[in-house]
Amino acid sequence: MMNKPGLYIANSVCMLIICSVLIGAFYFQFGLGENPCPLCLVQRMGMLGVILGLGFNTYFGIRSEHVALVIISALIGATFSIRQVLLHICPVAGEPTGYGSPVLGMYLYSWAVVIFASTILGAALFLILMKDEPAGTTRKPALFEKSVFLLAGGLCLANVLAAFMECQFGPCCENGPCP
Amino acid sequence: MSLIFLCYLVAFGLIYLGKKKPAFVVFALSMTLSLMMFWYHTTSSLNLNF
Repeated sequence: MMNKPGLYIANSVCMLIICSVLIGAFYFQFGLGENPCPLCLVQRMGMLGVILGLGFNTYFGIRSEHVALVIISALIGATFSIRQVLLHICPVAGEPTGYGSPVLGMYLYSWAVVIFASTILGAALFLILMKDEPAGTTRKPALFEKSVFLLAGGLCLANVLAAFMECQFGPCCENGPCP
Repeated sequence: MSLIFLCYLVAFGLIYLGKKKPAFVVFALSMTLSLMMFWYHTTSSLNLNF
């Protein structure tokens, strides 16, 4: 193994940070009863893509191609969230500003932009610190890394079930499945 | 939407099982489907832009 174990721990900590954001989104959905908007759901997909890129590092060794997957996912996710920021950036007369409840003064889609931008910054730091493991590497992750990966998989399963309950197999509209 | 999340879940399973190439293919498919869903949201006549 060419990279220090600490770098793998850092990889899993990054995964855990994104997982905590998804758990926060579930708190808004089930705890506060705010159903996710269609654009919010595709932003969750961007976050799952980032987690999967980090998961490749966990199970197949840290490689630049895996970090590239993280950056691509973050760019796609940022596209989704910036789109939503732009939709709400200009208030309409008689309508409430923004969508949903703000957290620390910022709406969730604005936080998503910050998270995706931070992901790209983190990936750049990873590229500076890491060395490519040989191609075809498979590794046995430590208990912490495996636990975080399984937590992320569980969150993905929860998203499958939540999206199915909200809008079955099709796209989601404001209140459940699209007509 | 749930089917796209299911694709991501399959990618998780494939990574866990150590199957890198199939996991990568499913990952790419999931990302493409997410982009297509985003495109649908921006172009559909339904009120989905919020």
